[in-house]
Parts: sequence; structure tokens; C-alpha cells
Amino acid sequence: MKKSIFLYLFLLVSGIGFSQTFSGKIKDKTGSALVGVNVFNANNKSNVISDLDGTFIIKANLGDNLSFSMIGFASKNLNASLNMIVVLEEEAKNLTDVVVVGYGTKKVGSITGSVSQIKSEDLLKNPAQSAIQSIQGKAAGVNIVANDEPGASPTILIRGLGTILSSSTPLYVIDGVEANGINGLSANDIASIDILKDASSLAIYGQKGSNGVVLITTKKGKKGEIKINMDTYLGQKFIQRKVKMADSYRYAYYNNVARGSSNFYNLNQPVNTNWLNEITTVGEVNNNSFSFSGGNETATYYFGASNYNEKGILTGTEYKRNNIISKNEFRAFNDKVKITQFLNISSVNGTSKPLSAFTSAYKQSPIMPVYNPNGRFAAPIINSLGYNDMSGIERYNNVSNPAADLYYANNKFKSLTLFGSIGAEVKLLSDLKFNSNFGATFDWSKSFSYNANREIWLYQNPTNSELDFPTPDRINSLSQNRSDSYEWNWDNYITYKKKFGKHDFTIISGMSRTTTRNSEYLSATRYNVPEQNNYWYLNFSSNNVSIDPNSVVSNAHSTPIVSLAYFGRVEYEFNDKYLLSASLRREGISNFQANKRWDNFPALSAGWIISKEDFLSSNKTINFLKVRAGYGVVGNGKGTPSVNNVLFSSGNNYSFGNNSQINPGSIIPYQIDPNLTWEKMKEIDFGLDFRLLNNNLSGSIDVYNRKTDKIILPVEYPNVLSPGAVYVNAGEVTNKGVELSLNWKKEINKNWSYNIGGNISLNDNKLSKVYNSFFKNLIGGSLNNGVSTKQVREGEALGSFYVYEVKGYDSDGRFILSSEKVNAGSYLPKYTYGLNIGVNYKRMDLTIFSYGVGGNKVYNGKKAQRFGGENIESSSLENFWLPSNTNASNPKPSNDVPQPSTYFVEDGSYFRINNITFGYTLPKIIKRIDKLRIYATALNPFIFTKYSGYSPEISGSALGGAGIELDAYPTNKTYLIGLNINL
Amino acid sequence: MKNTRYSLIISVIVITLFSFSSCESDLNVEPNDAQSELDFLNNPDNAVQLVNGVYNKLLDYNMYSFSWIGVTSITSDDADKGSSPGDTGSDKNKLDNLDFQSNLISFNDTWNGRFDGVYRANNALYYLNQLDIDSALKTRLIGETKFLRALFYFDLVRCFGGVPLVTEKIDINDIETVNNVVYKRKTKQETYHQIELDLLDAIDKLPVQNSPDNVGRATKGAAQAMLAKAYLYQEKWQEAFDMSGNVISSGQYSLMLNYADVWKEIGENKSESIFEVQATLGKGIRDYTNVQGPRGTPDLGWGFNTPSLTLANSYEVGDIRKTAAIMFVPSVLWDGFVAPVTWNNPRYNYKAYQSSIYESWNGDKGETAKNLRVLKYSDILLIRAEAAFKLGNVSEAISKINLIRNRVGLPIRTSLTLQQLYNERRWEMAMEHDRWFDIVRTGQAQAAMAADGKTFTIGINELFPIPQDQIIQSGNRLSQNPGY
Repeated sequence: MKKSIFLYLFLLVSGIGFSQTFSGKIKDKTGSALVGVNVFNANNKSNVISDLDGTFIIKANLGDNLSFSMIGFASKNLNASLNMIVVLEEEAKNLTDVVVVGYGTKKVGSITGSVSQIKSEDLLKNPAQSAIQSIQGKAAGVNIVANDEPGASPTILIRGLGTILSSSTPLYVIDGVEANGINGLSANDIASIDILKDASSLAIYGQKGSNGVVLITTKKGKKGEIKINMDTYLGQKFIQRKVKMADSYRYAYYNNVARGSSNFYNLNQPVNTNWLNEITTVGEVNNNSFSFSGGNETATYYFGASNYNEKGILTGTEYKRNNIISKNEFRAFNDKVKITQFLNISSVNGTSKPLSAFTSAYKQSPIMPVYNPNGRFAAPIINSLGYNDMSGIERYNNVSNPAADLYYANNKFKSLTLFGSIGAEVKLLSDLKFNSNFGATFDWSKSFSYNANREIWLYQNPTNSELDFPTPDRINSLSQNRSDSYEWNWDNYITYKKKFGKHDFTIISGMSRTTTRNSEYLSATRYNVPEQNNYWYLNFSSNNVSIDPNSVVSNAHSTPIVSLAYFGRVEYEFNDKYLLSASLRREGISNFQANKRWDNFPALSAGWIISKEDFLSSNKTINFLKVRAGYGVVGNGKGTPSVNNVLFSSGNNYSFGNNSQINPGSIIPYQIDPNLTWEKMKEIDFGLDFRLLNNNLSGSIDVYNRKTDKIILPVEYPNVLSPGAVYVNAGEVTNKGVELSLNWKKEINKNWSYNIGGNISLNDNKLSKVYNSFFKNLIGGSLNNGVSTKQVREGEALGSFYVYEVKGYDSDGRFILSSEKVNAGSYLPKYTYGLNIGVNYKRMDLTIFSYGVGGNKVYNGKKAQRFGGENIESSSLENFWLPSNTNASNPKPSNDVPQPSTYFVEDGSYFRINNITFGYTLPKIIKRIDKLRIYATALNPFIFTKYSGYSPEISGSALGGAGIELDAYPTNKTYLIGLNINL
Repeated sequence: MKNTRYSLIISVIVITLFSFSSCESDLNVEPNDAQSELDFLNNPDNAVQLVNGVYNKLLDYNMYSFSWIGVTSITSDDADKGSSPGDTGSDKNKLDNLDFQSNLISFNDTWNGRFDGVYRANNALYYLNQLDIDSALKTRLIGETKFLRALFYFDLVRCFGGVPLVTEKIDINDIETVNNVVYKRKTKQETYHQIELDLLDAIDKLPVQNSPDNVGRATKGAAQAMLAKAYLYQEKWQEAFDMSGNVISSGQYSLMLNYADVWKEIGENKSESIFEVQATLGKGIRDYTNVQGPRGTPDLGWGFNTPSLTLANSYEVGDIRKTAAIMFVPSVLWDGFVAPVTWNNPRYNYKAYQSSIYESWNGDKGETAKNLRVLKYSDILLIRAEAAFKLGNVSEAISKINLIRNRVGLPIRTSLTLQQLYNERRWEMAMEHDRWFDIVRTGQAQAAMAADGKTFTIGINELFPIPQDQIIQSGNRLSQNPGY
């Protein structure tokens, strides 16, 4: 009522024709008010900004030309009229959206390389401890292996594995700071993540680029009123899948058969311990974040603080992180100089527990109780009646008590990480600017671990007393560790941007200097400190006999790696249709000998926006169509030793003299190849980007073929030439693949809208060539019991399991194995895919993210690591070999150390619902609150897989634990509720 | 006006870029994590460290531990695999049954361990020759290194016959030299010739005695003893007779009063010792005692290499060496420790026993303070006796044998047969890693192994197979021993 009166008056007044104020409302397509839209009257130069209701009031005459503009929306020009309702349309994405590329930005539409972008909204819908984990399934060609251990980083692999020895992690650039990861950053403070995938986009990063580059842009303030955002969520974590282990009866039965006895274990056991339950608990997670931002003509600010707490499912594990981020931008001299400052402080502390407890829980017998009657932890000792008994005589397995593993593990860690940058952008001329950016990361961490040696010995030797402890000078040990690191990069470049008619040029040229792997550690161990944890400092040690100092205190500094690079890039667009980009980087790196340090990394790419040609411009179906092709050369110098010189290592000591004095000794552990140089990745990429059917369907296809040549392999020479492996450029790895992503977005009506997106990436990996005659095969995937499961061989996929093939059973129910090991498949998936669905109905929103991998194998390491007397899976008993059942799926019970065989290699394909989120935005009740949304999220609620273990998703290094389930942290499912408030 | 602005801008850029390009020398990073070649060589004290690094090899797992115990002892009629029946120790069951296959890890370890040592020795010699240090020290260090290199090759030639003779540092990219030297087996004679060259030079260069701080380093006596043994294996009787005579006449060595003390801590580096691997707490021989420690409850080790019943039954009545070499279970050990019935095996190697009561002990079973006796005086007396016997000087042989028998309280011999001489060596040196080589060398192998229930194939089992990994590595350039 009030409003109509006001409007009436307004109409009346304005009708008179004086220069008056006009008001109106600005909305988006869905009808929500748009705040902060700039309204400009070209006639009288007045300028206002829409308020929280989207309302504006501007001085104007009827019919004056008003322009409405806001980032992310298409600008509109309208004549001033009464009671204006202005609807701004979101700018079609992929067209004018900006993606971040090396040393600059680019409109999405004119990109000629392969880049995936993930926006803040998508990250926040999938809360995880690390923002990288949230990307899983959202970008084609980006394979992320999540790790749910509190504080752990996921493994990320872009377009396949191209190296074995060198690092395979991408380069992260956070607002200009080069980093190895983003764990110190809160997902709430990230505005966008751009992933450069193909060599033509990566070449500008030279030796750091071959694993892809992940560019993180943090949020910054915008001109206008202060904006406040708060987000909080709270949840519980559970083990997603459990393996059903044998109970006491089945354990006794199976192990009796294995021992060839009928009563070694009594079949009627008084105890039936479920060890997994004894060591796990319901995890808890809680995240609170808060930010405010704003700014004016000369300065903008963003300040964020967040706090993340997690109690892991492994009893006693804890991880806490507090973050503070501040980003400010100052403009001076008529916007000619822009200074950007950014600082992120992250402090972490936590308690870790040995993950081997999971394997122990898998293996420890259910007939053993957690505690003995005397209150000590029980040990696997059996009496003549076949019961677990502390005063029994025989130890029936070598597995520790999992509950004791946790109880006696006293490790705590703390770290403080600072990273930040300061940058200046100087507009030298209207089309020429100079940027200088210095970024650095400092990291301090400390930890301790306290080992109660005597307590552990006592529970393992239950009949002994404290006085029997054989080494009373080492009742306990305390280690204190300190380390710090400092890495920095300084980039300087000029950008020249000029349009001559239909010719559009952008030229950049600059240099970059970095220092990495610059860290030092100090650690010390002493014995016999007081039991109470407030005295866990080295000076409390009562063991003051002099011992070999080297075993007590150690301190070392890594050799830093320095790189220096010059780079340039020319981008040319003709008539907004034909796109061309060429770049060159020349880089030197300190790892290699002087004549092998420098190399050039060129790239060339081109694109053609076909939809802008006359024959398509009026096509109703095809709204946008671009083809592109690129070629580039990128290096990989990360991960190799810091210096390629003959080095003498100390510590090869020997005692001489009547007092057996330890004398220092040194050796040259391995020889060097002076010709060693960087790995070089060359890639050709063809792509197609399109939008069809009224822009409802968008997508892109990429086909690539990348060869990583000169890959560095640790080559084993005869020991008399070099006992340690020599790092040699020895071969070539190829990765060929296809990436497809499709997104369908539809607004049915005012109330209903939905989107469906999916992507799939296929990658074929192999070590295509080895040209070092000394290279035979490289062995990895150790199970820590002398058994290895992986080999690197020419012509085959990296990460292949090499094990004996099961050919049947012999007359004793044992496996007949092939004489040679065979390739049983790789842990690397052949394809990965993601499927995302979003539905909005009025104030409700629902999103579902899912992720799947296929064609990969998992080695069931915990099952394969048997010495005798361990527990087995319940299913192992369902169908095992007997003289009457020779076609069984499991061999006859046995206590032999199993040979690595195809029996333990399982299909690791899985499809998992990563996230289901349901949100509800409350109606606007309080005026100050722009938005109040509550949501409930289920993370990893469902998984579909044939794998029999806890989780088919196992991170690790290619030649190490990747794809081997042993001491792995099981995947969690998490249920969260959260609240999001915008002020 | 505009031009000056342009030139200003351009000069700013040019200066910025060029001031930066002057940092190219930044790429010459000094290493922080290990010493570089030049920095190391410029400090003459490091010469000693480089040689200590060669000695350090003697402590490694692939040197005198599980694999060496397997190929020298478990193979022989003196010892069985031991441990629990299901624990094969990778391949020790096969070694015990003389089922020698070229892919057994023990052979490869034995090969690698010694060639590691040769590598270290060659590196040390390469740098020693370039160092400008006190010439007396340099001479001694070269002598020690050559002694160690001869020791490595002596093990290799006894195990595998002729092996590649690498006596210099070789460039890994020099494929021709690699093929001609590293992948080419020399004959047994050529290998022994190299051993003799190194030892003769070492004898020349080494002191008779070391200062108290340097006890444990190779001496002239050690090199002579080693050479006497190398002559013995080649049946160069006169040379063996003379060289062992040199050791005896040096007056540096004598038998200890109590045979059982030789292998205890109180016997380390004492009068009977000629060369020992030096071990101490925190720097011991990796798992040497652990491999052979009694298995069961309480758990002292893995329980391998248990003295055979054949050995136990071979002793003459009253020979105290039987209970000094063999730990019988149950019993009370010399230090009062009760060997309980809960141990898995009836016998263990007593010479590898490390007392936690009366000897240095810190609870670390994997690295104890027990020294390994490589050359001892009684061995030299036996070499002298055997050489004398072969040369027809039976009275000299008898006199040396009687020194040994007298010490253990056995009646002296007035006459001597070759078999008696061999038996004396067996008892005196039981479980000391020589038995296998002795029975092979003296032609007793087939009969001795048959008595132990094992089949020794003449013409094949005298040598171990060249490890398959090494043959593959060489692209089949290394030839396999006959029969494998």
C-alpha cells in the first residue's frame, strides 16, 4: 500500500518534467534482487549503486539513457522511465568469463589451450579438508585419489602419469605464489581454480609445468558496502565399508587346518574381539568460516578466518587447522599503480596414530582379548587348552595388539605456514603495463613422539615384571623434531595489449626466479624421561650416559633448487574468430650440470570460432562452436636430486681401537651421469568447445597425445660400478587420451530449474621406450615382508602389478603359480568419470556429485601379508580347497608367506556418490540478512565396487603404495549439516 | 616529452630485466646435504674416512649376515637351516639341501655385497692417489684398502670361481670398458693372482702393529695370514708354508688359554686375533647374531644356522670345543642364562651368542657388539700344518696340531693322517664359515655331505652358480658356472 502511494506520488512528480529522481528494481532472471549494480546516467553523469533490495534511485530526466552494469552480467542500456523493473541476464558462461592462464587472464571464448575451471560454489558444495579433494569428478582429465586421513593431501594426476622418479604433482600457483599444495588454504577463501592441462598452455611454466598447473585465485573485495559471509558445518564420519572378518570359531577352525592340528586352537572360545571396533570410533568434523570484504575506489579488502576440526575415525587422531587470510588491493595515481598484497596464515596441530593399526586390526586374532586379566594389554599367546592366555607358552602370531598400538603411540605435530605475495602493477602506457610479483612460503613445524618401550615390552611379555626389562637405560624414548622451510618466487613481466582494427594483440614478456626445496630439520632423541606428558622434553632425560652422538641428534639442510627463466607470449586474434597463441620459455635449473641446465620450451596453439562465420552465425541450434589445436613442450625438473655432482655421504662409520671408538666413514653411495637433464613432455592437443540448443547444452572434447621423453629412471648398474641406482634419462612415457565433458542446464519455469553435467576421460599410459641398456626392470610396491608387487617394464603401463599367475591348485591345496611373474594390470585407471546433478525448486536446492574410475587394479596387501596365525576374512572360509572341493575359490588354509599372485589382484573399479546436498534458503525475514541457507550433506554415502577390501581408492607413489591396500586409511562417509549466512 | 617518457619506461624495464639476468650464477648452488667432491678432497683427514667407509661395508647385511651364513655354513655338513620348519629364510632350505639355483637371493647378496666392497675400495684408491697427505699415512691407507679388496675377492673366488676383476673406478658411460671388464669373468688363477698382488703390496705397506686407537685396522700380519690362506686354497704349499711361517715367527700372535673365550667379548682383538670385523653398540654387524640367535620364548633371534647332529657327533670324547661351539638346549649358558625348552631348536651356534648379562648390550638384537673373527692364529697354525703335511714335513704338521690339541686338553698326536688334520680343522674352526670351502677344497665334500644326508654333485657343486640377476644385467656376457 505504502509503495503504491509512493509510486503514485513519484509518477505525479516526474510527470511534471523536472529533473527528478527515478527509482526501480534490478533483478536477475530468477527474480532475485541484484545488489551492487552500477547505474549510470550518461546524460548527467550521475552514478548510483543498487541497494540490498536491488532498488536504485537516480537523478534523471524521463528518457535519459541509463546503463546498468555488473560483473558477471550483460550490461543493459535503457531509457529512464517510471517504476523500472530491470532484468539483467547473466553473461553466457564460457564466453566472457575469464580464465586464469600463465602470467595473465583470458576470455574463456578465446582460449586456445585446454583449461578446466572450477568455481567457488562448486567447491563449497563438497566440503572436504582439502579443496583439491572437492574437485574430484568435476574436471575431465584430472584424476584425484582422495585420502581421508586427517590432514592428508590427495594425490592429483593430470592427464596420466608421465614420470616415475620425478614428482608427478602439478604446480600450484596461489595468487602468484608457487606452491606444492594448497592444504593451508581454506576452501571458503577460494574464488576459482583453473587447471591448465595441455602443453600449449603449460609451456610458459617451463620445467615446472609438465604435470599441469593449478592456478588458485583467492577471493577479493569488491567496491561497495561491507559484505559478510559466514559458513558453518558440523558432521560425523564413519568407515564407508567394512570387511567382515572371521569370528573366533572360524578363526580357530581355519588356523587349526593351517597348522594341521585339530585342537591347537579351541573351537569354543570365550572371547570374540572385533578389532576394528576396538580401534575406531565415530569421527567428528566441524568447520567454521567467516569473511568480510568490501572496498572503495582506491582500496578493496578481503579478510577471512576459518577453523577446521576433525576427530578421525581412528581413535585418538585429531587434526585442527586455523586459517587467516587477508587480501588487499590498493590503487593509486589514477589507477596507474595497483598494489596487491595477500597473506595466508595457517596453523595446524594434531595427533597422529599409526595407520598400521588398521592392518593389525585386520590381522589380529578374535580369540585374543583386548586386555589380560592383570590389566595389561593382551598378547597373542596361547595355552595348551587352545585359549589365549598370558601364561601360555606359544606365541601364535607376530601381530601387535591394535589397541595397544594406538594407546602407546604418542605423536603430536604442530605447524605454522605462511604464504603470501606482494605485487605491483604499473600502467606505463594505456596499453602497456608492468607487473612484478614476489611470493613466498614459510613453514615451521615441530613434532614429538614418545615411546614407552618398557610398557610395550611388558604387554608383549606378560609373565615378566618391570625388573626383567632388558634395557633399563631405555625405558622410554622421546624424539623431538623441528623443521622449517622457505621457498620463494619472483616474477616480472610486461604486458602489451593493443587492438588495431580487427587485429587484437596481447604480448607478454618477462622473467621468473624461484628457490625451492630450501628446508632444514633438527631432531633429537633421548631416553628415560618422566612418564607424564608435561615432562616430555629432552632435558628431563635421566639417561645421561654418553652414546654415539649421531644416533641422538641429527640436523640437515636440503640443497635448494634454483631456477631462472625468461618467457614471452604473443596472442593474436583476428576479427574475434581466428585465434593464435605462441609462447617460448627459456629456463635454467640448478639440479643439473652447467652444460645441461638450460633449455627452451616453445608452444603454439590456434583456434577458430566457427560459429562466428556467416554460415553458422544465424544457426539456432549451434550457439557457439570453436575448434582448437595446440602443441607445446614442457619440462619436468622436479623430484630429481638437488645437485648432479659426485657426493660423499657420511655416516658409514666403523669402530676402531681398544675402546671401540666409532670413527666416521664416508662413501660415494652412487655414481652420477653428468649428462642428466630434464624430462621433456611434448603434447599435441585437439579440442572442440560448443554450446547448443539455446546455450542449454555446453561441452568440450579434447583429444591428446603426450610423450614424455628423457624420463629419469633410477637405473641399477652392477654394484661394482655403482651400488646405488644412477639417475639417467632413460626412456619415454606416452599418455594418450580423450576427455569429454557435457553440461545441460535448463530453467523450466520460475520455480524449477536443473542442470546435469558429466565428464569422462580415457587415458592410456605406457612406458613406450627405454634406451638405456643397463635398465632391466624397476621393482616396487613392497609389502614390507620381502615381497614386491610392481614392476616398471618397457611397453607396459606404469604402476603395473607384476605377480605370479594362479594356475590352479596342487594336490595339497596350494596354488600352482606361473614360473614367471605376469602383468596383472596397473593401479592407474583407464578411465575416470564424474556425473553431477543439480535441481532447484523455489527455495530448495539439491545437488548430487558422483565419481567413478575403471580399468584399474588394487592389490589386497593386507590379505597378502601373512606370516602365520593371522585372522582371515570370513569369506575365505566359505569356499576353500579341500580334497573334496578342488575347485574352490580360496586355497587350503596355510601359514606360509604368500607369494605375490593374481589371487590378491582385484578389480579396483568403483562408482561412488561423492556428495548429496540438500539446501533450503529461508525466506527473507530479517532485512539485514541477504541470505540464510541451511543444508544437509552426505559425503560418500554410497559406493559400488567389486573390490573386497575397505576402499579401492588408495593414494601413494607410483612405485610405492599407490593401489596397494596396506596400512591405508579407509574411506569415510560423512554426514553434515550446515548453515550459510550472507550479510 | 612523450619520447622521454617512453625512454624512461623502456630503460626501467631494461634495467629490471638485466639486473636480474646477472643472477645466472645463482644456478651454481652449493650442496647442503652432502659434501661435494672438491670440498671433500681438500680436507686430507677425509682420506681416513674414505677408507673407514670401506671397512664399514663389512657390517652390511649383504656382507657377513644372513646370505653369507647361508652359503658358507647352512650349506655345509656342520649346520642345518634351523629356525622353524615353515620359515625358509627365503632360500635357506634350498641351500641346506644343496639345491643351488642361480636365482637364490643368497648368491646374489653374496656377490653384491663383495662387489660393493670392491667399488668402495676402488673409489678410495682413486681418491687416495690424488690426495696430498702425509705419505706414511697414505701408504698405510692404501695398504689397508688393498687388504680389504683382496678379502672381498677371496670370498668371491671361493664362492664363484673366477670373477670380473675391477680394480679401477670406471665411467658408467664407457660401455666398452664395462663390457670388457665388468661383464667379463677372469679365470680362477687370474683372480687369485690379483688377490696376491694386492696382498703383497699390502704386506709391504702395512705396519706390524697399530696404535691402540687403531686396533682393528689391517696389519702386516693380517695381510700375510690372508695371503697364506689364499696360497693354501691354490695348493701352493711351499708359499702357504712360508707365509704362515712369517705370521708365526712375527711373534705377534698366540693361542688364548681358553678356547671358549676366543669368540666372547673378552677375546676380541686379543692375542689369537689376526683380523676381525669390528662391531660395537650402535655400529654392529647387521643382524649377524640376530640371524643365529635362539628362536622361541624368550626370543633372542631368528634361530637359523643350527649346528648339525653330524657335527655334534664328530668330536672326540673330551673335546671341550664341542660345547664351546654348540649351544645345547636346554642348558645353562656360560653367563648363567638359562636356555629353556621353549626354544625351537635343540642346538644353536654358540660362537654367535651375544650375552646380555656379561657383554656390551643395549637391547638391539639387530646390531650387537659382537666382532666377527675373519683370521685367527689357530687358523694359521692349521694352514702351516696342512702345508707342511703336503710338503712331507709331517713333524712340523704334528707340532702345530699339538699346539691346538694341547690348548683344549686333548691328548697330543704322535702320528698324523691327512684326515686327522682335516678333522682338527673342522673342530677348531666349527661354525666359522670355512667348513663348506674346506670340504670342497680338500675333496671331502661328496662324502661329508652324504654323511649329513645331502647329495653333493661333483663337477657342479664345487662352485655356486653366478647369480641370475648378474647374468641378466650383463646381457648374458657373464658366463654361468658348469652345471647351472
